[in-house]
Amino acid sequence: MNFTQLEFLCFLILVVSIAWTLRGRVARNAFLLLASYYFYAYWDIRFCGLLLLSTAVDFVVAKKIAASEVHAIRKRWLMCSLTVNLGMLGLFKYFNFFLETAEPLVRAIGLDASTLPIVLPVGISFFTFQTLSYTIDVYRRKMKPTSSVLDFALYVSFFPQLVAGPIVRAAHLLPQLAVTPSWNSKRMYNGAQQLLRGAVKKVLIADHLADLVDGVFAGPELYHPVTVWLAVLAYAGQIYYDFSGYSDMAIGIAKMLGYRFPVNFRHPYLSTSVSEFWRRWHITLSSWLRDYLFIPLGGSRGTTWNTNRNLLITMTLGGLWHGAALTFVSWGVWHGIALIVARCSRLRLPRFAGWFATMSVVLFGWVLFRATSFENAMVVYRGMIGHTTPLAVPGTESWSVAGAILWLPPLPLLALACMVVDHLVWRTHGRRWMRLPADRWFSPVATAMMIWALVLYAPRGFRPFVYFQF
Amino acid sequence: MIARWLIGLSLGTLIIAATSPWFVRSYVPRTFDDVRQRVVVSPGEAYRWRAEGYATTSVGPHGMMGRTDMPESDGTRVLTLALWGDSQAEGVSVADADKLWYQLESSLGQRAVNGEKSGVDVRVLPLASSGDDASSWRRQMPLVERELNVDGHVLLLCEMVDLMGTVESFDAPASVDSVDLSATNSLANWAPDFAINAGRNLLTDPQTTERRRLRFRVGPNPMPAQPTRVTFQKETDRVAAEGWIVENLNAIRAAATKPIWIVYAPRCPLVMDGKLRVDDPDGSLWGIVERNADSNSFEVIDCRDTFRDSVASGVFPHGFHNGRFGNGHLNAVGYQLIAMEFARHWRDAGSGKLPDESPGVAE
Repeated sequence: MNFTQLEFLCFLILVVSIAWTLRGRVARNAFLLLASYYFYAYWDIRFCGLLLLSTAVDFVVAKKIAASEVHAIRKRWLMCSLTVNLGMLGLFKYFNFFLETAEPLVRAIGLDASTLPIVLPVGISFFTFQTLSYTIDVYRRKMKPTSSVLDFALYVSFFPQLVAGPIVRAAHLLPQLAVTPSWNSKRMYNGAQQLLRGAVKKVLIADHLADLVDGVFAGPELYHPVTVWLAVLAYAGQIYYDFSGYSDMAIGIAKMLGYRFPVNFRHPYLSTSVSEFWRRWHITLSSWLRDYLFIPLGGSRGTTWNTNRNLLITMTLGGLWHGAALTFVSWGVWHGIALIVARCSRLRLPRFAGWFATMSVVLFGWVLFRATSFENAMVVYRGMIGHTTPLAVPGTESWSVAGAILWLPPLPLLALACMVVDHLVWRTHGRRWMRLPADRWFSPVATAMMIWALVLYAPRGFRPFVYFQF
Repeated sequence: MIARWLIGLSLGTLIIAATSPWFVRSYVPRTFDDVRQRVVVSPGEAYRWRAEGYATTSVGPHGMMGRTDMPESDGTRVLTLALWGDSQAEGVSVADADKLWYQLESSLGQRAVNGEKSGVDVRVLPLASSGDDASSWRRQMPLVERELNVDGHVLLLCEMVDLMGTVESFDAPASVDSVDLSATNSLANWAPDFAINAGRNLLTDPQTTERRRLRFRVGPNPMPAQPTRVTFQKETDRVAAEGWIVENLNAIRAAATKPIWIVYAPRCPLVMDGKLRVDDPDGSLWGIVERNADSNSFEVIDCRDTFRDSVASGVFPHGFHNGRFGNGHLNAVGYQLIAMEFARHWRDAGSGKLPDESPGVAE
């Protein structure tokens, strides 16, 4: 079920209404668990087994780890959890990728290299990282295991963040699930507003930008360099508003149910360095990778060489986490290299130059991220520097710059303009500018306009969230 | 607080209502036309279109889109052509002065003055309607020949599927559900366009435009079959398709007594999935029409090469910047190219098929 579907709106109204009428934590959590499993089963009921497996394994393993003081035993149980979770991820997400990558080798040793018809379960990357963080935190004695299987099962499957994050740590959510939240009308209002704002970001900005992006990336060789550049910029906007829109909706829904989720984005395109970008982009994943991968590898404690190696490994695996394709891996490597270069050069650029350099790195990376293949990415890069043959027909005359812009659909252009305005205003006003306090005159006006605009101006056709594929 | 919210929500709605004409199409009442024996957009209405292009169409007598008057003669002889087709010929995406009927009239008028038929005023009646096919054309052809003194028919064929319907006999007179029409009209008259559009978006499926059905059962959900262009699984299907086309052509010939020009203007070249497709996938089906033209006394005009030449110079005959270029409906350039091709054909082949002495509506 997608947050922007009418079915989800019906589901949400029902769930929120019932959740607040139920008395007692157990009944409430049991109901939310049931609702969360239904939410997941809406895609494919067969994958509920994976959720159950992940829940059961980590619940038991965490208890076993906490029950033992022997390091070897604790480590053995941790390895058990890692094997199950990463094994699940490896099988469903990466099996075919590894097989395709190693095809020549597999064939050379006389084995069948044909891929399996494996369907990627929605959100598997998110919930496996959540359960892993729980087990690792218990192993590190940062938290005690929960005694309630109900709370833990709800933590793993809680529907607002189940399929595309934010990646909520057990230490953050489990204590909230252990108590019954009290009704707070202001929190309910703020949650509903954030939900609406997220929907606007996703449907009215990201989905309209996607129209432009899809057209150009499907055949970049047909377009004028200005159009290709605008499409790359539009993709930067699409992926940001798509994912931050989803995060806003998830955080808003959680608020409506009485829970707090961590912030996932802080206008990353205002960053003046690549490292700042990663402190503002998909914050819950960045901090997860920092705490559970970069620091265990040694972090920045060792030599420069070791730190750079750790950075590169972390970013490469971060890229691989996003998708089973070499383009995603390359995207991770590209950001890893950019971080290393920035770190080693110790260059302090003026604010605007820093922002420009950061955006160049980010936009270059997004081409790899969006491209369907390396060949596709190369054609886009060539298009950006003017090496295209618009229309690819003998005798073709190149388009003028004005023509390239004139042919662009107005709603994606409007969405691009909204993106620029949003960032400029956020730069001066911060988080305040997005808020619509209930007691201010403009709040109902903006609310009515957002609702009508969602109904009237949503692009025809269903577009799932970009991060669902991860 | 409640009063503030009610006022604020109303104000927000008013702002949307005031700005919606930039993006939202209009909904206009329809009426049953006794001459054409079908439901048409009510004459005198203004029909605003926003899905592709930003045009407002004036509706004339008999539901003619863009033509607000019936042709009159100022002493010269008048030849009246009826223009048939589907939404591609209707042209609600472009301004009235860019529509095909107007471009044809301009081009043919010039030719008529300079060519053999000097002194003949050509008038075109835009009778094409969205969703029409061979069945609806041939039902109306004898009616307009009789009632509107039409001298010839121009049939804009953009999709071969329009010639592949079942040929039925029209023994029973056309009828209309007056209750349903009156309910639809009262909604169009009473409700603002943006509210109707919002209701339509909520109640209809965006892919199929059929009534939206919410799904609450668990998955996996079987993928719906994607509609495709005319495709043939077997050779027998192709033979059957040929049969349908020939049958429809014969039926059109039998329905009309006046000369018929069939103008082929498919979406070709086409930008699809980021690729420029220059070949016409339905070219072989058009070949059937060409082969059967002589036996039915049709004149056929093929616009594909003109379209290809235009695209090669960077100008697409299809698409709008608020849609997709190289795809979708014909734009002003497309109509101009068709009109020029038609005029060229008329000049080269002669318009001898037209009667020397046209009764003309004004005579």
